[in-house]
Amino acid sequence: MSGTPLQDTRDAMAGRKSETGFDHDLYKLFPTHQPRPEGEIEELERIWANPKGWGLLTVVNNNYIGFFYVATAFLFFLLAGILALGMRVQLAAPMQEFLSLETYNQFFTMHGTVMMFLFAVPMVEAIGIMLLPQMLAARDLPFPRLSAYAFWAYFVGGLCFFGSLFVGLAPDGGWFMYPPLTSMAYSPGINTDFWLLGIGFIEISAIAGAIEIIVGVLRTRAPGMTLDRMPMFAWAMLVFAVMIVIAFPSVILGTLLLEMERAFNWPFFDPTRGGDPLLWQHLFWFFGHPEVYIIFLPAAGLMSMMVATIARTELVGYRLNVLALVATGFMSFGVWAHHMFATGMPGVSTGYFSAASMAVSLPAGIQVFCWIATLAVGKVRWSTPALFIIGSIVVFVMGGLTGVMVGMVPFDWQAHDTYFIVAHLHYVLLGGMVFPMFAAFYYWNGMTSETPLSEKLGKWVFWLMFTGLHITFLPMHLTGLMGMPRRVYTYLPDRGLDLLNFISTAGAFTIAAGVLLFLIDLARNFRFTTEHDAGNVYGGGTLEWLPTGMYSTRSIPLVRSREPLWDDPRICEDVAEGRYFLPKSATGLRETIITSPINAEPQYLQIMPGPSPYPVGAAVFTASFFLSLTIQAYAFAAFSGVAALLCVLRWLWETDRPILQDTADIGAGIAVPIAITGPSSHGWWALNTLMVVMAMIMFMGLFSYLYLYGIHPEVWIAPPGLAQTGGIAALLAAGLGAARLSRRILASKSKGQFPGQGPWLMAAISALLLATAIQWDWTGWTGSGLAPTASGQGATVFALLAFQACTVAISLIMALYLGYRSGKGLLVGPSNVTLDVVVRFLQYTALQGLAVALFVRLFPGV
Amino acid sequence: MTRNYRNRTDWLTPALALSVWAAHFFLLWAGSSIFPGQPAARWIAAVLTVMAGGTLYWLWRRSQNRSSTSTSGLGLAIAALGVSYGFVPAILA
Repeated sequence: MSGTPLQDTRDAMAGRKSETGFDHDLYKLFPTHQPRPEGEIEELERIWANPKGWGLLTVVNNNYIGFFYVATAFLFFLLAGILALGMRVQLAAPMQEFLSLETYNQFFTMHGTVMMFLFAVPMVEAIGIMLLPQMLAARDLPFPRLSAYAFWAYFVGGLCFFGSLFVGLAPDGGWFMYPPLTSMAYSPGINTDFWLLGIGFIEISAIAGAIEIIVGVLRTRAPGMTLDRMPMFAWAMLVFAVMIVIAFPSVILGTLLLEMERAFNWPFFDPTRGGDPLLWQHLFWFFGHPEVYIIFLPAAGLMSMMVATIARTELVGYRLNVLALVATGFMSFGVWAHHMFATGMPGVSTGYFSAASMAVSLPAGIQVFCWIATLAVGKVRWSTPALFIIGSIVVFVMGGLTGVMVGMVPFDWQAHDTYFIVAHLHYVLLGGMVFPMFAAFYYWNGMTSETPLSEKLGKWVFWLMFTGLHITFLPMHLTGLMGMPRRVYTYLPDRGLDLLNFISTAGAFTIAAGVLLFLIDLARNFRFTTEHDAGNVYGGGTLEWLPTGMYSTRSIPLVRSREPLWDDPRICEDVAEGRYFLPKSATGLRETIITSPINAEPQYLQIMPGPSPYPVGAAVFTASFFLSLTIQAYAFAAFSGVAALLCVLRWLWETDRPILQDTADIGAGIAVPIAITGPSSHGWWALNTLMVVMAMIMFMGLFSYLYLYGIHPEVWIAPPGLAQTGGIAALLAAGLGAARLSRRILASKSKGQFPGQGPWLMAAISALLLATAIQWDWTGWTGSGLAPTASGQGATVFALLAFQACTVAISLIMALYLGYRSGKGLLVGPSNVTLDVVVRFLQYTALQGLAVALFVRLFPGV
Repeated sequence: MTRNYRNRTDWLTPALALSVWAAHFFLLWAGSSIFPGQPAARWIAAVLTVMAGGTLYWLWRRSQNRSSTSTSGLGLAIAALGVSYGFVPAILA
């Protein structure tokens, strides 16, 4: 008998219940023993073959997209590193004139921005896209075209954004862009707009990648890979992606608000009209501090996997480590305001953030002790990855300790905005992300290169980088404590800073020498391949080291432990011989098995899309949309927006194609359905994740509204009358009902039966009702005398309404798209993926509209 | 290597426990921002801490005998430490 949903989940998680009704005795059929028919591998190779030459632009397979992504992120690491060297030359001696003041401002802003937005987050996402399908033994991640879109938007937009430096238009307000410095009064040029709009596509790209990773980790794991057996990197990427979904909406909203203030004079951050510059700091740091953990956690996941291999033993405290990842994810959202201790927040509030900053070191410490314990109980093989891992632990712990120091309010007041902070953050980021990344480059190089990287050169790379790091950043603790502020373009001689700064500059070039040596190693030894790779050089035990082709593994193994390759010596051969799941293409198309989220029980077969030019087209036009807005080419921006939309719709057109086959044999006679709809489908999970992103944007908008009311209640005016509010709520409720009816009409039809025009017309009516509601809401507020330029209240209310209007516009487009598909006869009963998506989006839009309308009209209700 | 293909760890309890910590933290902050420097903020903190402690205790009772291998204890401990630690500034203020 089934209990409550919570009880069912608890039972499934506690191992008392199957999630899907799948009979676990069927697992005994694997590995199979009958010989496989000839030609299956050839068919897989044909189906998963990729275009060559210019056709590579249309590739969506994770082997290519992941590699392109990693290479591009590393390119940005090098570019931002060159900017750092320029700054260090400028600061090598007092009163230098190597860089002009303006150029220096652009250098430090671009260094921070590129490192955080164009290198660190994309790099970990890239490694995830590259490794996760193989680690989970999926054929690919569930939305390959979304991965391709995320990459190309990032690649094109990132290069254009960086190019602003060469024309003197790069942002110059620091990587966290505080107003009022970045308001029109103090930054009238378009440099700031480059930052605000330029990172728009990076945010979109990051969220697209996060959705892909959440659904990929939860729904495409190999059968038997329960949550307990997930590789640590998969756990880390799951936490990482959830954190992106929660944290990024805050900076998305912040950048939109600041851009609206600059473009339309809406005073979100102008205290003379009821705004507040500290609102920006709250919005930025609610993203900005979790961002540090967003970068660190995937690297920690990589560390946990590499530590086990180099110590040649299982990771000590696997469950503790997972718990530490999750706890860090939670607690990282309670520390944002420790960046604001010097702003004069109430004393008790600073105390809460200080306490949370201390508390977050607990889970971080658990991970470090697990790694140390693993190294202690194992037999360490002193390879290059081992050096980078141990170096990383040392450097990260040093950075963590200074982090605890600046978590204490009185100390932070002294060290705030000095070079002490620069030293702290570089220790944390280099130890917590860059060193693990280099370790990973050496460790996983065998997956993508014909020859391994040189161990001899690698050790030189490590020692140059490790010593260079300390030479550069250790003296900065002293320069900071001696009072040298960060971001200064130069300093006076004979203040005790000359020698320390010179040493830091020498250290920076030592790090650069290490990176240069790594590039030489790459040039000598790295040869990209998808088939004849160097293999498992360090003897890892997880699934990415199974023999693979473009289709990932020949057959998808049944997972019985955390390190299957260590525990089952025959698994490589069995997988390659097709003795496990899906040893061939069951439908003649690209496909993978979708499994249940907790116990990874096989649920259905997903048909996957192949190469397409539309993701790259959509990405190019997305980037061009944002960049055109920046340079105020509004007509071209409109064209780009429409073109991007058409590309997206065209790419989606093929993803919901009718399949005649109902079920497929996934091996040993086990039949599963093909392409289902509803809560069990992977698309349902993806849309839910997107709705969480949108809800978070709305939530942060409501927070902004409340925050400004708390600061400047005197500028608040009375909302429109209750009768109007009731009318708007009724319209939105009607829209909700119409969307529901749309699905009901389709569900009443038998399989394959065309339902007529009813379903899409009901969806269109629903969208029109929502549009009428937002129009009434908007005019109601303007009729009550509120203007967006008048006050903080006007700015936040109309920003929320503008967000709702955008959501409604998307709903209208979706309803029309559904109508077009219906006209082509592609909408048949009793269920349809496209209709399911459109209806649920309409329902979400109606609920969002209700939340916004009721909240701002009823509170404070003066 | 086991032949059991079911998840055997109770991941839900620690997730709920950390959610309790998050709710406690955000409500503490909201209270201290709405009533800065006032005794009300301290009383709100005290009430929230008692409620959070009670919820964690309830989760601990529920987690007993729920799974053969469990991290719920450590998850609850981290959350309880975070909650207690978060209350300290309200006492000292």
